Amino acid sequence: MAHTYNILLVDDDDDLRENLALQLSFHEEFKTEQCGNGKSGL
Amino acid sequence: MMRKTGVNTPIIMLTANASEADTILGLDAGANHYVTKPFKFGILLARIRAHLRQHLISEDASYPIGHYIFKPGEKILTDSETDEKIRLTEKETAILKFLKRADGATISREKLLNEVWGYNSNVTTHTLETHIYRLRQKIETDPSKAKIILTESGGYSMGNS
Repeated sequence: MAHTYNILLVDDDDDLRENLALQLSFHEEFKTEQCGNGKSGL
Repeated sequence: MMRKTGVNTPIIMLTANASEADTILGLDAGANHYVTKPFKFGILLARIRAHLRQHLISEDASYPIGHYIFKPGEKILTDSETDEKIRLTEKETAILKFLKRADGATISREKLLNEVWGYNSNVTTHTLETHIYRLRQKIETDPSKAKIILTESGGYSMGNS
């Protein structure tokens, strides 16, 4: 059984952030959410 | 700022700033780890897993379950509306922790039994069912219509929280 962890990715570099989210999506234990700056992350 | 509001989940900062002063500033601001770009994804992944492992066994870890805040380290559920605390036994804590980690997936009785009591124990699923019954009496608003610990075909799951 996979345990699922939520990961919030905050980075203003859209390419890097989306690439990280994509790579994490290949690992079943992670669910990601993204935002482009710290304020919206909070 | 996140730390001041009580957020205790692990934070890994990914930054282009590699100076010693920036690293100190980042860690002093509450980050658990400071990784400078460029970085290797495999190493970042290993750091994420390491911090999650550490967080899960820490006394600080807390999770929302229904209208409660669950602190497995303290074996306590706190009603977020009334601040009332419910003390849990070790087994009750383990059951909730395991169902919470499954994130809504159904866990079979055998699997839950093995994870909570151990693979070599001689307890039966009846023991598990008794614990689930008592737990529901403690935490469900209406134990006959459980919304936190749901009975599924062959096992249990945790309701949306």
